Order: sequence, then structure tokens, then C-alpha cells
Amino acid sequence: MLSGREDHPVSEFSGRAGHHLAADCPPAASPAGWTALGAAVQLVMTDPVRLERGRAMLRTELAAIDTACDATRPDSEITLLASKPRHDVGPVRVSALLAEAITAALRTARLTGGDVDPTVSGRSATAAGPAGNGPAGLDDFLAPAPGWRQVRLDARARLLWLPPRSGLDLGATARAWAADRCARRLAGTLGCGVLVGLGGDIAVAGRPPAGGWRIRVQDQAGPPGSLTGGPYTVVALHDGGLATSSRSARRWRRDTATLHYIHDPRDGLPAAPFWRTVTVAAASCVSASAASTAAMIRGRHAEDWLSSLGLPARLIALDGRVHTIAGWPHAA
Amino acid sequence: MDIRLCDPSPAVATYVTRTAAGNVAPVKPGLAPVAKVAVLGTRLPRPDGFAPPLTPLTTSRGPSHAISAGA
Repeated sequence: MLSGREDHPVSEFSGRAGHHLAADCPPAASPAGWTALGAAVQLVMTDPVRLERGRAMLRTELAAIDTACDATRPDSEITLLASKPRHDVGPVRVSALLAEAITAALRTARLTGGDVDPTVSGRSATAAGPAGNGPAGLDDFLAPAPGWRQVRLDARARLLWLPPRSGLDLGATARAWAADRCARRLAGTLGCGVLVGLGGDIAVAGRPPAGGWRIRVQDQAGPPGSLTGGPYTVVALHDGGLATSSRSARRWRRDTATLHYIHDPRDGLPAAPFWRTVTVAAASCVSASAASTAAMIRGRHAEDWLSSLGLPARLIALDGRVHTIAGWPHAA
Repeated sequence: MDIRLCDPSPAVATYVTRTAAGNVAPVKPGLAPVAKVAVLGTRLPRPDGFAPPLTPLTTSRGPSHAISAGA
């Protein structure tokens, strides 16, 4: 049974440019530079006594996931997988963690009708780089994705078949999948409410604090460090996950084009601008992330699609107008 | 009150009614009683598909525990 302390969750997090930590977050010890999969890590728990153990568990979990799935690391399993010479039809054995991450990516591709496709060039995962100022130019993206249907995974045997000359980009799904996995494991082991955030992909598990997990959803139109740059709201999430996709973060210019990391798999190019930011809540963080990313790609059709799925969403148009659908609460 | 099976399979999703005493009984004679039911009108789980959170989102005026702003 949780004590009254659950009303005052404690947190450990790190900040970086472009991911602002609100001044109204609860007091926390803040180890600088805690990142995983290229994103700032947030851990909030309802039981402060178990926070240190939870932090150690999360570090261990994320270190293993980083080693398997972080495409920005030259020594990660997925990076080595892309560089490994393969026969066109021969399978590659992958670790259990990478198999789980690929399973999540293929499920996402199926649920989004291929909008979020892990065969979109691995360049999209690494193009912006951890600092968001990556080297990729327009020419680097002028190629449609080989297509997720050409990827085959035997999850039980952990055997992976990839299209010839193709890598995998788990950048659109790995953080959300990792947040789900870690939140569940920590809550299950420690028996308290847990929130894990990875660069805006937020998963919660266990018994939430009274009133739910309060999450500030904001648009990053303002200068770095500004908490009120663009419209924002605070919502209470009790279960599942919440994710935001945005053109405002991690974008860069090459020649006359502004590039960002959300790509349309049909032509390999950054998705045509329609929404500035899309936030979705779902039964899991990986589903929320999949839906928010696909909505950015679907543009004007995104509202109908999200409504048909019953997913609460908040969409910010390019002109800053806020659209809320499917049960997203209206600001009081 | 109308209720139906959680199993989303059309072959299994038999409509049943709750009696005044609160018991579950099949609409059509001969159908087996069901044990696992959900109130009609609530969202049934989709097999390996998108689903919203179990508890609806609400607004909050309290301090935030975390930020979601895209990255």
C-alpha cells in the first residue's frame, strides 16, 4: 500500500537544450547529462524510499537498451548489424533486446499502414545527431524506404532477415518502447507508481499519484529555456503513455531546405509541413509515439485518423492554432 | 443494461443482457453464459491495435511531473 507520499512524487532527471524541465517540477536531485538513446531521461516515482533503487535499475536497463538499439553509437548492435556483410537471403541472429525492439518497430509499421517504417534510411536516426545539428543534406534522403514488409523476424529464434543493402532505423520507436518496458519493469519490481520519460516519450506504470501523473505538454516554438514558448497545457495521465512529435525540435537547414527527422517513407523526404506539434495519449507509449509520428506524416488527414482510433490528441497547426480531439481535455 | 463479451471476435461476441438481479444471461436461448463481460458503450480492447488509455485524460492545475514536448 502506498503512503501519502505518493501525492508528492520524487524525480530524477536531466535536462538538455531543447527539452525544458519545468520550474514547477517537484524538487529533485538532478544528475547532469543522464541520457539514453540520445534523449534526456526522466524518472519519477511515487515512493521516494525506492527512488535510488529505481534509478539504479533504470540505468542498467537503459544501458543495455543503448548497447542494443542506439544507432548513434558506433559500437551498438544495430550499428554493427548495418555494417555486417550479409547474403541477400541469409538471416542474422540478434539479441533478445534488439529482437523485442524490432518487434515493436514492425508492429508500429503495421498499425500505421507503413507511415512509420523502420526501413526508412538509418540516416534519419542519426542525421540530426544527439545535438540536433547533424550533417545530413537533402540528397541524403532522396530514396524511398525499401519497405517494412521486406523485413522478417523470427522473434523466438531471434533471426532477422533484412532487404539487401538495407539497415534498420528504430529511431521512431525505440525510445517509446524503452520507456514502456522500463516503466513496467520498475513498477512491477518496486511495487509503486513509476513514470519514465525519454525525450518527451512518457510511459507510466503502477499506481499513479493522486490525481494522476501531471504532464506538461508544450510546443517548442520559443527560445531555448523558455517554458512558455508556444501554447502549452498540463494534463493528468493515469495509465499508458503519452508522446509528442514535433517539427520544432531537431531540425536543421541545408541549402534552401529545412530538414527534420520525421520522414515520409514513400519518398524518404522529411514529411511535408502541416502540423507543428502532435501529442497523443494511448494505452502504451509506443502506440502514442507511433500515432503522433504518423499524424505528422498524414498532415491534413491526421485528425480524422486519430479520431477514428479514439486516441486523445492535441495538434498544433503551423499557425499556432490548437486542435484537440477524441477526449483530449479542454483547458479549464 | 446491455453488455457484451470482451472477446472482439465476431464469432464469439454474443450480446447478452444483465438481469435485474445482476446476473448475466444470454439473449438467445441455448447460448452459454459468459463470465467476462464489459459494459456496452465502453471501448473494447483491440487485438494488438491502437487503444486509448484506460482512464480518460483530465486537465490539471498542479505542478507537472514531466514534460512532453517532442525531441
